[in-house]
Amino acid sequence: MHCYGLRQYWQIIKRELLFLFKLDKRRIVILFCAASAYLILFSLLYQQGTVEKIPTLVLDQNNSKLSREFVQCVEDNEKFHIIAEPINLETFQDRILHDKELVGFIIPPNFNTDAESGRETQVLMVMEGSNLIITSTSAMAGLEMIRDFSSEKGVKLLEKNTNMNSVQSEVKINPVGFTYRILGNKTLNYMYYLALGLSLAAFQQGILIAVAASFLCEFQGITSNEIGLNWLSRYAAKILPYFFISIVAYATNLVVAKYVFSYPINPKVLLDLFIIGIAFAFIIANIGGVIANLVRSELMFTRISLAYVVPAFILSGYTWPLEGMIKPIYFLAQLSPLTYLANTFRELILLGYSIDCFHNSLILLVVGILAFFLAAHLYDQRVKGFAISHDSTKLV
Amino acid sequence: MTVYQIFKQELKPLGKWNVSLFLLLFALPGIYTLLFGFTYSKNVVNHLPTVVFDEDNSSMSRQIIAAYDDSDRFDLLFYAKSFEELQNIIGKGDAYVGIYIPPQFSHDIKRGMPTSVGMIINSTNMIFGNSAITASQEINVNVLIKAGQQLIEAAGQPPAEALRTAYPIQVKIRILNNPTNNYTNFLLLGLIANGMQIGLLLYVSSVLCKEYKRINLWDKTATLKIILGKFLACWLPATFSLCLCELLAKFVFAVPLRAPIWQFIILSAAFIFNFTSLCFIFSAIFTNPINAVQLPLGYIMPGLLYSGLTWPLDWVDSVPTFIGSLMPLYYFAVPLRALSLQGFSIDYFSCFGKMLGAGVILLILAGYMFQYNRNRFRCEQ
Repeated sequence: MHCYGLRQYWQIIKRELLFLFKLDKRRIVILFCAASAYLILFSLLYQQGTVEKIPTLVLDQNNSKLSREFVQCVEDNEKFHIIAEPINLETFQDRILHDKELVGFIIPPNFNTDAESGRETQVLMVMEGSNLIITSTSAMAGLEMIRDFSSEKGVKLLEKNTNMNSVQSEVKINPVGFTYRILGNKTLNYMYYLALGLSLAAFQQGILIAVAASFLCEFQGITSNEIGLNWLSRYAAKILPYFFISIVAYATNLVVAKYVFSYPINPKVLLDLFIIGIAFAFIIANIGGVIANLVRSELMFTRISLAYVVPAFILSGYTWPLEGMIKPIYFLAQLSPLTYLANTFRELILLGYSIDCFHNSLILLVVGILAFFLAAHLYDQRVKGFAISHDSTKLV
Repeated sequence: MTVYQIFKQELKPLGKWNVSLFLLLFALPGIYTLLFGFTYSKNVVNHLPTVVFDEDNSSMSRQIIAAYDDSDRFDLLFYAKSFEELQNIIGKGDAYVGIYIPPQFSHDIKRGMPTSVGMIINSTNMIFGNSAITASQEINVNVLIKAGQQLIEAAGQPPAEALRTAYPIQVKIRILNNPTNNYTNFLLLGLIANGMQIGLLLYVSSVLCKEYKRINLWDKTATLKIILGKFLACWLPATFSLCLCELLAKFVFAVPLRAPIWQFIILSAAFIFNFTSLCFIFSAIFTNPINAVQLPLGYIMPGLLYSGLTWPLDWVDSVPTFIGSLMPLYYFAVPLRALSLQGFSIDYFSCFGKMLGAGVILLILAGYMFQYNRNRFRCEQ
């Protein structure tokens, strides 16, 4: 009797595998390839990682040795690329407002005389602020560059005006150094920042759509023996192939990230990555099972899951931090499983640890177990409904 | 049936308003607008939790701490008693920024010995990282100038002259169009356009293919009329809805719409025209609505991120630029933001023309495909 039951469960698994690999290949394509396809697509987009050589204008109204030194300093900075030196303020304004130049420096007319005689002088840095990535990169690089340039001139000025030597002057002008230690994303690389999270969003969609197809596409192939099986085991056998293949897809995604795009995945965090990944795949497969057994059609399910994908990503805190959200939105974000995976996953890869890993995995697992029971119950109801509405002897 | 009758039938099948159309073309983009608008409603990241370990505990070190404490960007929440504690607090994620002031800090400054303040910034989320670095750079320059000024004063120069010597070349930053680096202004309109795409994709992809099952009902109606009637029933409400969402962004979330309103309407209409035509292709090719909706699924996130809305496409290779150029949002998201923030877009007419041209071509193709499948189904039946 026991062997007979096992054979029936194996029959269910075999039928799902048959659908996955032969009868409805889109399921395996979506389930297995979605995450890696997104990873490749977005790693290609963000491959450069940082913004460099921002088109820059310099209006040199002084045209002195000092101003040319400043222009050279801008030219030498990897973040800026001087593409024009307009002749007057009108041309400068016109170009920065209407052309593709994004940053401009205006050197005032008495720049050298003021700086050398100890009078106040000011370089104006103008930025086109529509794209915040350009603005923040330019501001960081510009501030640092002008501070260094100013310090250098300050040292010379002090040497000239006092009897201090260059070392003494340097200490007076730069009495404090500021050393920055950036944790996590050390080079502020956008590929590391974004692409993996986007692949996780696709991973989630892949599981949802494949699982939904399994529940909503057909009752063909279901046998009368299966109808009599234990409700939990029947559901488990049905969901099992999708769960395992999703873990393989997750592992493949990590391999592609590490070996194709050189993401800094430390082998020490692999266990943690798998724990949270498995918990996530488990909850998503079961949530897919719940929704698929509640909605009337696969079209409806697809509509719900597609409408969910972008908000789930944006509310996950992966880009805009959860701490920056107002309370109701923060609460909403806590309802989405991706919120528990996305940041933890990135911390594991970029920081090498995540203190939320086990906590988040536990939440995903516990809610996943609840969803498992609910989905199994709903599926059982549907199977029983199906059995009543069809003469079981007619089942294939 | 006339084009008008088909148009009307699509809006009010069986005499009742089309609920799916209302939900997917009006409610869904509206919900997205509110959801994303409220998500970014704080606009900038302030009050970054910060930990300080001051081993010097001098008036100068307290000046540095006060400078950070006075800034909106940082919230000094923790005062560590050791460097390990500081690292632990950052490691646990309780603070994103750490400031370490070494022992003998003020003493070293006064004696002219090299010394430095350590800044530890958790940049795993770059929004935190960028905010913290930019703000701390500004504060640190001020600290540096003040310290330098005091030292030069001590060497005998008058205060004003000492200040000018300490920082002879100042910088003033002027950010045009989005001076407060407001994230809502930066992203919301693009996200609304993407939300509209999702709504259209989910609705329009099944508009033609559902007719294949009842193709006999259309026996006496020309393909052109069917396509036009159904297209107008999707394009006009979606354009109206997108414009409403843009107004919602303006009046609820204060997103500036600086260009004349007609420019927004025309560009939005061209975008919807292009995207609806694309969805008509999918709807005409597939005979199963599920496939028609699922195939373009892979487009949703790339459509948004390859549009140049966040990562500027001038900084990517030719392959990603080419991929981006195949997507309608590429011609809409950035010009729309430019209209909003700059009040004009230099690419306005070229993007409008491209979207319109692509839309016409795609619609003609959709018509041919629908005709082909229609004939096939008619023969089968």
